[in-house]
Amino acid sequence: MTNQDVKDIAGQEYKYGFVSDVEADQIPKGLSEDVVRLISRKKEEPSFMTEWRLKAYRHWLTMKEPTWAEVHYPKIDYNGIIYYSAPKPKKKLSSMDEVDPEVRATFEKLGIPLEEQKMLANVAVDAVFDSVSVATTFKKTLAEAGVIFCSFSEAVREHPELVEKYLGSVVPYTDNFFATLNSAVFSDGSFCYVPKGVKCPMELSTYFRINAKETGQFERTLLIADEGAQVSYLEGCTAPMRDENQLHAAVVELVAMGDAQIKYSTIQNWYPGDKNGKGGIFNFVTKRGKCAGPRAKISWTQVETGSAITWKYPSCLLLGDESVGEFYSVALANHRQQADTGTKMIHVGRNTRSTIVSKGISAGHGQNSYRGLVKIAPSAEGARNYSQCDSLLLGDKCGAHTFPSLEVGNSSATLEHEASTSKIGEDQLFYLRQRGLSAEDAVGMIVNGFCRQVFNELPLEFAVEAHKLMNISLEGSVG
Amino acid sequence: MSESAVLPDARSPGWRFTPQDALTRPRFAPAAPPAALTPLAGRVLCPVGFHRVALVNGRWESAHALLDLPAGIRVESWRGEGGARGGAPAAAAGLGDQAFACARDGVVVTVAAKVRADRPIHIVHVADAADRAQISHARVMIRLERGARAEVIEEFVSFGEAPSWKNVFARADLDEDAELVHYRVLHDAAQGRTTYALDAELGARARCESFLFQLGGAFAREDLHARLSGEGAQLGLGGLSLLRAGEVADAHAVVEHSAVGGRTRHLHKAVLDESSRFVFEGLIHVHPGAQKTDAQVYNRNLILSETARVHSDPEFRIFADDVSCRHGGAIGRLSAESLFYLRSRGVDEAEARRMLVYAFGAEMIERVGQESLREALSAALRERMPEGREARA
Amino acid sequence: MLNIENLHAKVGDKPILKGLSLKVKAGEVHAIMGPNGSGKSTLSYILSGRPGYEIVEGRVDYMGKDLLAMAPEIRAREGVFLAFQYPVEIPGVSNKYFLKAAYNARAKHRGEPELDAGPFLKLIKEKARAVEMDPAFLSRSVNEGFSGGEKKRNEILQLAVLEPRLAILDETDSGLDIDALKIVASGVNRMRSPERAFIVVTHYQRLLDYIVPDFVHVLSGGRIVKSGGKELALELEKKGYGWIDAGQPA
Repeated sequence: MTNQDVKDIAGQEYKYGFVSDVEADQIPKGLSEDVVRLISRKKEEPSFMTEWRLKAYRHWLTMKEPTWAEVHYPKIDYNGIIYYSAPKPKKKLSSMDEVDPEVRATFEKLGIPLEEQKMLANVAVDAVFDSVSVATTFKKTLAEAGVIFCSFSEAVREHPELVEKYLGSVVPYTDNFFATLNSAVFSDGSFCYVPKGVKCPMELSTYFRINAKETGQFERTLLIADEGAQVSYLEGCTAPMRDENQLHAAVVELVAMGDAQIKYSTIQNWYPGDKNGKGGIFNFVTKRGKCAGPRAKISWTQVETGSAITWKYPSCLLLGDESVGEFYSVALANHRQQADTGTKMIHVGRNTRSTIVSKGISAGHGQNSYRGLVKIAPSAEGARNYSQCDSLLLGDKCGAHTFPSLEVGNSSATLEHEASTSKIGEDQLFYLRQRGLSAEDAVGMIVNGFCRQVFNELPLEFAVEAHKLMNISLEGSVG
Repeated sequence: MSESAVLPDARSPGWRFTPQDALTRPRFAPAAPPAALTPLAGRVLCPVGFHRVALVNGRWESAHALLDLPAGIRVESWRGEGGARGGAPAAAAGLGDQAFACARDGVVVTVAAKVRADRPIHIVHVADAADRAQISHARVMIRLERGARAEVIEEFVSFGEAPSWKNVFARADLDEDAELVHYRVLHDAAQGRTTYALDAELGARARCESFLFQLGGAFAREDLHARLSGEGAQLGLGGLSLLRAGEVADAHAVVEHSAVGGRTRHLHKAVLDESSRFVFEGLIHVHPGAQKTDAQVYNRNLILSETARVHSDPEFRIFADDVSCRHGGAIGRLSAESLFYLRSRGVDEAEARRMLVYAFGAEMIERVGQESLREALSAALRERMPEGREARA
Repeated sequence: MLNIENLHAKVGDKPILKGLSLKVKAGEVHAIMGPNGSGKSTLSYILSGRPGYEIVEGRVDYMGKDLLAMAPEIRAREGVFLAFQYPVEIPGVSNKYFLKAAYNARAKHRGEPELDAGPFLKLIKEKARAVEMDPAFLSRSVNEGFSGGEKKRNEILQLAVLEPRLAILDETDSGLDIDALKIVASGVNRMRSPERAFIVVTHYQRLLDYIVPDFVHVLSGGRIVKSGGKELALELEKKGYGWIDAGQPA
């Protein structure tokens, strides 16, 4: 954008960039079979888990880091990372009061009170601090409805049969470099099972916080909605400001059985690095959902404002007839951020439908890529897809790239794809300023308008948060 | 260099979705001059009124030439007088570098400054009848000096039953304010293959329209590379591919905008019947500083059978902020509602299908300014209509 | 309220205003008429602070302050309102959200209380009724998909909500049929008050049948070449702009 006023918009620091002083139980840096065994032992896991991790680790050794994405970063030293860090003490918590006060204060500071009585909205929270789940709220209420919502470690202990059945059923341990690494070393995450016919009585939510230095964050989320079940799940992420890059390689697996519905919303606000590109999280995440039965529906909504690098393609495997996949995304790349994100919709079942709405915003020196694949298998009679990806450019140093791919193997399929790239119009900016809005507010308003289609898909509290986050993330970047 | 083309790794970018079988089997030997020259009368779509030259098995064939050129226009053999004006490729995509290196001959078209060609220049690429599988390479240079205007129609034909493969590299150089209308009409025999690479460079305010009309042949691949390096250059790209049986069409284009105010309109349509296959890749690359770029890439496909396959990739890389870029794609079959509407008005189903397919393709043919060519293409389109498919609906 | 003195302005290398002077007092309605290209819209844009115009000479005093030194949003908050000839579409931003932000930005600037969503909605619904606008438009994106008449009506709604001190109407009549014109004009007339001034920029006299001005100025060649009462507009209508040009000293 040429408008000087927009260029002049002043910067604001990342507001979640504080470090909490928490004593941590850490293992030494580096990765080996012993480290994988040690993590499994620390988690007191049954042997099937240890074996699964080891298979993943051995497979990982044969893999190469992918290079096809439109992101550039220094080589990651996988032996320079601490693969396990947990806040001490690590004894079993019997009530919220036993959560380390410093950890609790951290979440308070982030606006996520863990005391149930303080919870304003009807949201159950699982809080993950440096790879370890520290607290899960509303467990009792959920249990009454038959919903299991707990940390992954607890699920391995309490519901091993469910974990064994579904773990890796959507993202196998051989899937890709980062997912395979995660399979070997993941330390915790959230687990949820909604039984047949149950509509989960409240929103479920996980807040992820990276705190310790030089650690990698490898969580794993597994969410199963059995036949006819419904659940809405929210995920938020923040990290301290640090000069070095930290690796975050998470895996999310969703399974929706027949007639089940899963709505998965993410607000990703990991530390993006400073305006010169120093520090920030490398976010390499594999998210995939499987519509295993007829009329199942999986809907991904993501607002990606953080991370130095985002490499993420929440996807849907549409196996059940008439199943539905949705992907709504806002991705912002400001300063030196690089985002390469999109989705895959794999249509296998008959009359399956998918919708893709992607809004990319590039500012500063940011590089934003949409990468998508819509694949219609020969069996997907009557499949339909609609894709829309729009890019907005703020400034002449940034880039917007789109790589949608359509592959059709069934003539009865209908695919439509539209993409556009534009900048904020000078006339729009002037119009808003003539009505008394500052240039900064005007830009924020136009960008939020651009994102509205996606924000509308978020649960209300998250939509408000996303709106604010977008304004903060835009500041200081434009020009 | 060996005269048989070497194919890139099947997994390399731009080739991942290309079924290479048609080019690897059978083995193609370098083409020799034909035993007997097949006459072109009745075998080419363009009328005899155009300035015509032909390359038969990659060699200039004087017997086919019909030239009566006014001052300022030269159409010459590359091996002959044209060589001095030929030049070298700046960026040969696909198999273009091999075509250039292996070619024995070619055509050089030069239009002097401000000269407007009186009639279209018709270049016929012929793979003449042979008793074995042959490959021929050829070069084409089209050079329009400042303010010149010309229409160049390249027509690709193959005769006989034996497999043949024509591999052509073409370069189009447009100086400031030059205007080129460039059509490629491809109607190979069932065993004919064509690979074609175009490297076009547009100077300030130059205008170029380059369209493919693909009406037959076992395999055709195009690699177009256009650079809009002068301010306000305008490019129209696209084509119509009518595919059936096991035919393959593989359309790749990279358009680079490196100057202010460039405009690109790219639209490729394909109609796929039986077990045909179409691959589309269209990339627009807007370099830093290429402000006010206005670019659109669209690929629309109509699938008529259960076994046809499409892979479509319109892509953008944008490094300038004041641009308007759009791309889009659609893959679908004939609209059931439209079919029903026509039938409810008394049109029988087979005819209704023909009407709708024709309408889909006609949009591209209507862009052809030359009436005689437009009518020939229109007739060819009707001839390629699906017949007797009522039973399948 | 407004004092424009010897204003010279250009766009790029092209001089548009060449010594324009104009005084507007509170409560007055000034019509500025002139042929195409005389600089009417330029004057509207310069007063509201649109980027792209270079002031070569002259000054503009607004309520005792240097108007030209203020950023566009400050002018707006100080009470300068431009009703655009071509209102701009802002996709995804709802009309009511936009209006509330504008209203509160102005209120804050003046140290007045800002309004919450509830009371604000009540306010704009009332105002919308006054300009005969379907309240459904309040939830739609700003001007997106509005017809020409709806856009102009939306401008008048904003005028009513933001209650400026100085309202500049730039070709507000263009593209309006007679019914829409009457609604827009009555919206403007309701806003007339001793504290508020209007500058009505128009090519045609037609609008002035409905918004009756106190003064009419003819702009030609970047300057005001003739001023008079409302009867000047009628005379112009009858004789055409050629009459002015012919009478203008070379």
